[in-house]
Amino acid sequence: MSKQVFDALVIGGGVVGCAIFRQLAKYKLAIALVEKESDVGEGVSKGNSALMHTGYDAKPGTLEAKMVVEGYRLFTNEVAPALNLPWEKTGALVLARDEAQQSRLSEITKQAARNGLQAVKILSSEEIYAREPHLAPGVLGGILIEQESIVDPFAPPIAYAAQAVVNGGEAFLGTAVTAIHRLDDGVYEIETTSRPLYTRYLVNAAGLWGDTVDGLLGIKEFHITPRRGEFIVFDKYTKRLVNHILLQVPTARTKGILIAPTIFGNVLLGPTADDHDDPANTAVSREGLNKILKLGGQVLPALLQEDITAVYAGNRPATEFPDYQIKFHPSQSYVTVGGIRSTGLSAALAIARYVAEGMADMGLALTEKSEFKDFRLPNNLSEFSLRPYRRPEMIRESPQYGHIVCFCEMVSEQEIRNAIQGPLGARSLKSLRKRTRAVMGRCQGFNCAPTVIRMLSEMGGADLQSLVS
Amino acid sequence: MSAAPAPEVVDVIIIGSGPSGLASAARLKRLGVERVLVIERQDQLGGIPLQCDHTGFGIRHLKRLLTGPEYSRRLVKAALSAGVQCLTSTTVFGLDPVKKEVTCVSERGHKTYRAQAILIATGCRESTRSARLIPGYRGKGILSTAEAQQYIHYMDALPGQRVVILGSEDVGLSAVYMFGKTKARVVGVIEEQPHLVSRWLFSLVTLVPQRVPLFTSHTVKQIFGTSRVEGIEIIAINAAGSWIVGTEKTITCDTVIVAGMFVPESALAQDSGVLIDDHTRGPVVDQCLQTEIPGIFASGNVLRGVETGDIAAMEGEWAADSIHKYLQDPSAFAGRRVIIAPGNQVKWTMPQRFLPDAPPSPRFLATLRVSERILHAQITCGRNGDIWRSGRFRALKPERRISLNLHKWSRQNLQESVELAIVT
Repeated sequence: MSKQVFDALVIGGGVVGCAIFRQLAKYKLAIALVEKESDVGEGVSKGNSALMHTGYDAKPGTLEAKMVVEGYRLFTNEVAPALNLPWEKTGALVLARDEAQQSRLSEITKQAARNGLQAVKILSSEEIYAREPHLAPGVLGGILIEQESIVDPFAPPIAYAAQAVVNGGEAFLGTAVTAIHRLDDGVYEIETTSRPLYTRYLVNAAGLWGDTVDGLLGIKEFHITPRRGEFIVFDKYTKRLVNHILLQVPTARTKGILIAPTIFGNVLLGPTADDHDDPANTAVSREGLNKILKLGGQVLPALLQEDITAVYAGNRPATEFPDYQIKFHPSQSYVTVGGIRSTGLSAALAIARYVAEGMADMGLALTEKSEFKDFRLPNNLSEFSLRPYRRPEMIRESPQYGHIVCFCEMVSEQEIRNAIQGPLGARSLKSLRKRTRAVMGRCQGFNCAPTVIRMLSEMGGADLQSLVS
Repeated sequence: MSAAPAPEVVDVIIIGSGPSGLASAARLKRLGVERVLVIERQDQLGGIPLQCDHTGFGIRHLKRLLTGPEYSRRLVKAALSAGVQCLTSTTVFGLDPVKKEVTCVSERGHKTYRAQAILIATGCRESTRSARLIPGYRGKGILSTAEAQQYIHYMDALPGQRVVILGSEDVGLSAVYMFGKTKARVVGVIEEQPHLVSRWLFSLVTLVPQRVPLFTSHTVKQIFGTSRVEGIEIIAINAAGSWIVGTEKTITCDTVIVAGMFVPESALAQDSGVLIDDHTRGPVVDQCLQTEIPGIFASGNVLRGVETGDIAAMEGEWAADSIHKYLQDPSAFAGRRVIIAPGNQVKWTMPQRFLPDAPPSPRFLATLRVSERILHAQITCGRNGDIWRSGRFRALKPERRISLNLHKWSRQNLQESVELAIVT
């Protein structure tokens, strides 16, 4: 029996890997994605600040600046509407609290202009307070970046990978790469925790493990230092206090604390920035949470009285270099997409194009398929539009949109069904949460987790006891 | 979009079919109110006791000892046989307190009901690991008691084998009892207070037979385990709640039950503009259980977090009496409203308003809670206790309800606002 050899294989199902997977699915290629977790978007892509950056503050001339600006355009203009990905243009305010900060505002607007962004303007103190009346006193002025947006951070990797699968890509989830060999005919043999896979071209989009995967090929070009960020998600009532993404004037060391509405109607506070050495460490700490609460309270004092719905932490793959580390290795038919830090969600679609073009330069034949099949995410969880339970016509069509299962987030039985069915359907509570928001509300599953687990078992065929324990 | 159909008119709408909602509904029917509608978002009527598969329900309310499910079934039967109309799998998402309209969604679509009075009886929930800012990993195996109860009683599935329980309220110890009947082992109960919170008898029958290690004056320093709970590190705390470094202990476990610290499920009330008390986190009510909006009443655990099902049911019945009066005379409770504010060492009071011209509530209803354990204390009302002063208590405990006798207040000439405070 001859073994199946893929034309290209992507290691890593984060937002960047999934975007590359989707991009390659447009061409007449046999492609695959390998992800060690049981779902896509489980690493860096899971614990971030859920923003779609315009790139206004990226260092002009860097690859990151180019990718973020282009990625934003691709996402907002083309891909988000086509794939039904929730996002909302709330605008961001950069707040200056002392004269040194205020004097830097014009520098920031100039930088934004060099990155091609026009809708960036300096606001007076009065204009800031008119937009955000709950801010602590002492804001001297600031900048409005009209295009800065919030986004559902879970949906993009799922939708990108699902569209690739719909177009013939193969996704191997729950499959970790253990060793890589290049055979005599130039084909890679990828040993995994399940069966070996073979490919002609290889993409390393392993995020926090990017340097480890490079190491399997004897390459050492950068070192990843996981930078942990802790976040607090406030109750939906808190939404009344915040209208824009609130940012600080960045210092050389940090971008400072961020307060932002979420697409789901909550308010997000964070992150910390704590360098450590364990990419799997996503624990929240007492010090970290207290620190962001203190900093958040200095920006928006009323925040400290608000209810907390969730806390989480995520790691960004920082390297010793300030820019992305996208390295083509033509002699090895190999590309490393590394060091994609907190801007990866915004830049992913542009990175995917850039990587595909680079692979073509390395000799991969990119012939477009006659048809790139559409895919639409079945659930749009944005609270900035009407959710299904508010739409009688949807309930008439599918009555289970009227049967609410998760009361805090108003998730219907039909949305749970949708999330279980189709490509990359949910098979665990963890993956269902990201596709529906069930159990992610203020009760964190007190009311609905057992019902949801029963549905997962009945509709998805998963074993009840193993779902529970 | 087509115009919404005209609302269906009933006399009273009750939101929630736990003990409070059901007992209130049955009482309203007995008082002769014709159209009483109960709306429940879960698929079954009965509320939280349905999943509390242990005894201890009904003594105070029905004068017999029942299990949770038995108690719920009796209340459901009583309501249905009295002619209460009940909807299940129907979620209220809009409440207009002025028009007295409730909009709900179910598989049948949207529907709006209009009533003369509405009772909010939406209950409470356990506070979460996130809300308590418990540090550590967020792997599988961290859950509320309510979830664990449902897995075990409804699905015959066990959440884990080695269980640590955070909190020694009744609910935490009911979890000890529940796991004791399974193959799982409870390997620790962690309590931040310097003593057990639950009553000694209940503690005795749950903790002693299983020889469960109890760690009072301890808190969680860290939960371990990236994808699944692997253990928990605890640390002793001093009276101010600060960590005492060097006292850390690690307990190997695969499950952490975050028990108790109930908070009112008051989202609907809050969304509809009903005034919420900062202290109880539930709707502000007077002793007749009317909120600050005429015709909108609240009863049960939505008022202030957890009391027993019996108390919730009895409050529901008292609310029914008030609603009945209101239906006959909408100005029945329109008189002067005195604000009751929590003073020195008082965490909250319920009610938060007193109507000097309305009937004082039964003794069980009016309560306060203190913020810490206080010995040899008196409760005072008014400045320097000039309105009323209680007898001396040997100890006031934060975990116990302290009843107030409002009958004594009715004879007083109360000011616009009075303060309840503790003096020693």
